Amino acid sequence: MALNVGCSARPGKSRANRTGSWRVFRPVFKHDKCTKCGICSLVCPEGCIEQREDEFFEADYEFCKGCGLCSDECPAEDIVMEQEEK
Amino acid sequence: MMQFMEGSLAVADAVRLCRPQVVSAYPITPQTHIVEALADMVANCTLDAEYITVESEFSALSACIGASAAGSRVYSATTSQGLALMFEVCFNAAGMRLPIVMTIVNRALSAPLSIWNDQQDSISLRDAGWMQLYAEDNQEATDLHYVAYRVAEDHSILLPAMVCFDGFILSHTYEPVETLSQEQADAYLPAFKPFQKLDTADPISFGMFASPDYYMEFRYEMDRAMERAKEKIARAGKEFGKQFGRDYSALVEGYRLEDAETAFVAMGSICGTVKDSIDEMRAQGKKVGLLKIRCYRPFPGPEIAKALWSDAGGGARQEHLPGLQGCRRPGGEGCPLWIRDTGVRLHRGPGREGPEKERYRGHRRPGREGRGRPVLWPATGGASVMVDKSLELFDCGHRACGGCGPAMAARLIMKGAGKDTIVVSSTGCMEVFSTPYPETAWKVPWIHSLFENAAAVASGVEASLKRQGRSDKVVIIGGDGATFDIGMLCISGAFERGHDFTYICYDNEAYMNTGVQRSGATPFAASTTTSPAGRCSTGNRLPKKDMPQILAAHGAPYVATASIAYPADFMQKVEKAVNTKGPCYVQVHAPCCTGWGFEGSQTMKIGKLAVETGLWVMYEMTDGKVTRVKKVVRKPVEEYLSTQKRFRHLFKPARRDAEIAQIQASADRNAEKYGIDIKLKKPEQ
Ligand SMILES: Cc1ncc(C[n+]2csc(CCOP(=O)(O)OP(=O)(O)O)c2C)c(N)n1
Ligand code: SF4
Ligand code: SF4
Ligand code: SF4
Ligand SMILES: [Mg+2]
Repeated sequence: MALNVGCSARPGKSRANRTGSWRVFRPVFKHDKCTKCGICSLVCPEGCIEQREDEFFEADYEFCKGCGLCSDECPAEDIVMEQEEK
Repeated sequence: MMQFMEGSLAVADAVRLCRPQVVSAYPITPQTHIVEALADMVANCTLDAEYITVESEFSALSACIGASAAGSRVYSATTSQGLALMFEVCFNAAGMRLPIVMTIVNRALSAPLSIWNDQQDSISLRDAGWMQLYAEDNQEATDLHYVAYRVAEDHSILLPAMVCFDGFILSHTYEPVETLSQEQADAYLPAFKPFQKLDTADPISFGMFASPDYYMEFRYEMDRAMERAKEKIARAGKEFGKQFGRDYSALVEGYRLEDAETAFVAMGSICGTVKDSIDEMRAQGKKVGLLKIRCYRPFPGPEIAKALWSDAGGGARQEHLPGLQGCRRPGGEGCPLWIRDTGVRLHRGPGREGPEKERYRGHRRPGREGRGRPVLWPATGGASVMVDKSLELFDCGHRACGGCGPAMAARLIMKGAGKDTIVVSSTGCMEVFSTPYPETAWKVPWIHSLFENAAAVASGVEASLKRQGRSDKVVIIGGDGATFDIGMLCISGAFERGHDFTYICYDNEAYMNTGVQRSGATPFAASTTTSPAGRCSTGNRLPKKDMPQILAAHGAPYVATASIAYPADFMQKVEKAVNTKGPCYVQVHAPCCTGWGFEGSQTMKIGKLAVETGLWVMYEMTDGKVTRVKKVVRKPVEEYLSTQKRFRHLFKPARRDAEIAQIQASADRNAEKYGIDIKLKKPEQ
């Protein structure tokens, strides 16, 4: 692989690092009591929670580290943390 | 045109003709006449450049880094103590491959304090990755600046260059100097074409963090560029000769060496004196000669060997008297030109590889095909829109701990600042977790230089943009250590100068990247690895420094404190700061689960508790006056302290009432000072 001059790089490359493998607990979005407020998506330090077509939110498990912040902050308690089976 | 000029002024004149767009320098004898002359030219519109009057040499070169990375031709000059103060920045500029040209007016290093000439200052930086050219007289000093820019900016080189000439002996001496016209200079030195630059239309991350195998490769690339520079210097020197009649193609130059039995090896102004002596000694029948080193970096090992062995008649019988500069090396043999130490063994024949090259042998290269080569990127376009907070400008895949407050801060900052922003980062957790080469998480142009110089780098970026008529926003993101402690010098200078940028300090209240050591932002009684709680310690003894007030006192038009636990408020403050002209400051409380000792799922809750207990106050200051404060129904500080391991010693093994009361008192003082209490009506009895 060629080196970029001066140890520089263009965007997009961090996605090569699939941080989802760090996860011990998985946030499960129940889409039950969810009010579609978007708080989960705003507070996720990974920025890996996205709104779907049906306006419900979902985590991208390729990157979700399972920190549990979204679950703790969800006002509707609609996100449940479940142990990963490995 | 032939003019009788002081050396400094001749050099300043050449610099002017090289058309630097940003000049950043700090005065020091005997360099002062150069920078004064340039300031005068800017003041009289004979030099069309931004002149940044920095508060130190450290900032001078740091600003050059920012300005160069943002796409401007830059210039600085220094000497002695000033160059020593730049030490760290010199290595950094070279590693970032920025074609900065800097004049070194060689002077001795203290102690004892001396303003007089020797070359120990630049010699000490011989391995920093800068080209170094040494001038014998003022004509050569002047001309070498054109050569230096031409070679440094060559896209196959991209290395910074020092043009060195002797303090006083040359700088303050009047000599006849043939100066160029602007047309002649332009014909020789084309306008600066940056190889890559900080550009919102093509966002690149500069100055990333490299693992050891990548690091080795990058250093190797620099060495190869140095090797290529030999030929480029020779060619540029020859071209100069063709155009103006003074040929600088020789990296080393012999004087009466042909049948010399003894050869002096020297560089700088002393060469002239040696030449006179040689003439006298020759008249007495002594077979002596001189080898003048013009180019010291890249080191012309084979060229020296060739000049001393095959070109000169002396062969192995020849005796060499290296150096002759005033500077002895304590604990080393002779002076800095003592050849054995400079990378080539002269007892070998010419054409053999010296140790400089051999050094790389046996070093493992990472498992990639072939050797790394520079790549050119095609530019991609991008249209600008208004700040759209749904935009994700900080990407997934970064390496922060799960639940990291500063990672949240990075996302929110970018949402508030928008995509037409250039980010300057300091060394620390955020920089390291977001840019392990080549995996950058930044979707905006981003640059990291050092731990303590972000404000100076940003000053250079801003000046560079201004010069180019660009309107991108400049946002600095620094940790609390970078901001409260080690970066104070650069920050104070930059705020005083009034650059148009926003400085955001993400405050996780310690040096997290290096393992949770105490900083000036660490709160009272917090246990850190350098302020540990113990049998005779209750943790950090000192209160948190009031940084927002310090920067408000600098005249910052907008200062705000925020918390990641209140994202909407934080984004709004960032947006406001970024759209306020002048240097603005936002300090955001960013809880660190790893350093403070709590579960990552609690980051927001803990951030909120800090505000709700009055230990963290969120306010805005406009022109030094507090204009808006977040009011709360206050909770006792214990509710905050008891959630974190860093305060555990206040509760276990025994409760420490005195310390807890002291912390409560500080919250009460905050409440009083900022008026944060919401007074609840007492229920009727
Ligand atoms: C001149 C210098 N001294 C020390 C260091 C080591 N160092 C790197 S990051 C860092 C601490 C960073 O603390 P802070 O700015 O608070 O950022 P954090 O890591 O907490 O996010 C230190 C001490 C350095 N890189 N450069
Ligand atoms: S925070 Fe909870 S309620 Fe709000 S969008 Fe997310 S899942 Fe739905
Ligand atoms: S668990 Fe953490 S990383 Fe995963 S989606 Fe929720 S907030 Fe994001
Ligand atoms: S140590 Fe703290 S600041 Fe650093 S990445 Fe981890 S949580 Fe973030
Ligand atoms: Mg910190």
